Amino acid sequence: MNKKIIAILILTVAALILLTLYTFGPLSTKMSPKGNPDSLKPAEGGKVAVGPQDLPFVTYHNKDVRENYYTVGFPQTWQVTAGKPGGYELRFAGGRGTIRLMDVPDNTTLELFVLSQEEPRLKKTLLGYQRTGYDKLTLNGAEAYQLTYQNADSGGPAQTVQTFITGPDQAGVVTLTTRVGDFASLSGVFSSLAQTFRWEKQ
Amino acid sequence: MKQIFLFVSLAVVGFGVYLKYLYDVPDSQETINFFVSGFLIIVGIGSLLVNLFWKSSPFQKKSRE
Repeated sequence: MNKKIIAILILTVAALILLTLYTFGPLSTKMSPKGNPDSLKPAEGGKVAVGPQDLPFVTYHNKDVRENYYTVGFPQTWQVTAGKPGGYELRFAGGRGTIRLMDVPDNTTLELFVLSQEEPRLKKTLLGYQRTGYDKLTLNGAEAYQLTYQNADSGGPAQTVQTFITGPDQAGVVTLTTRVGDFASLSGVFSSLAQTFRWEKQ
Repeated sequence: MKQIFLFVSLAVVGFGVYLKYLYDVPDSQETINFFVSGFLIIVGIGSLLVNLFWKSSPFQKKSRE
């Protein structure tokens, strides 16, 4: 065996050791996506949309996950915090919500995935799950599927509107929950919020 | 024999590149995909280099002159 072959074998083994350390060892934390601090800052220039009842909306640009940059607006009075990378946690008078990105396998469609995977999962995990509505929408050019359901929550029966928006890589999921009694007054705001969701071109 | 070794090495590198850049990886399996695709690419490139620098096929005995 000549020296070049031995050198190649040694380099290959060294590269494999480095790969193992990078994947499972102390260097592995670099792989998980991090939230971008700019995603939590309202857009400059005060781009404000007006929702129902003259409720001002503030726009946020989420740039956490490449290929899935998006713009979304929240009512100015809502408390917005960082969720998982690519997402937000929302708190408001009478309810709560999340925005998140969801991986959808290539061998299915978003609608099929929602009906065959997500809804059965909700039925299993939520006490007293009951679907009250299902709609197909188009939000800023993207196909979307809106699932409305009720379930028993710690504070009484809750009503949730969950909107799944087809995306360039992952799908966007807007989940807004309130008490059943407050739903009538908030449903307009929920619809306006979903309509502010827009994928950004890169 | 050397051609078969070269073909297998190219196939290994190609499969590694496919897994890394073209395969739709579920969110929960990104780490294992990173490792497997990296492993295949490194081993494949190593094999190609061995194939390139080996003066005769590693699988054939040197014929006596």
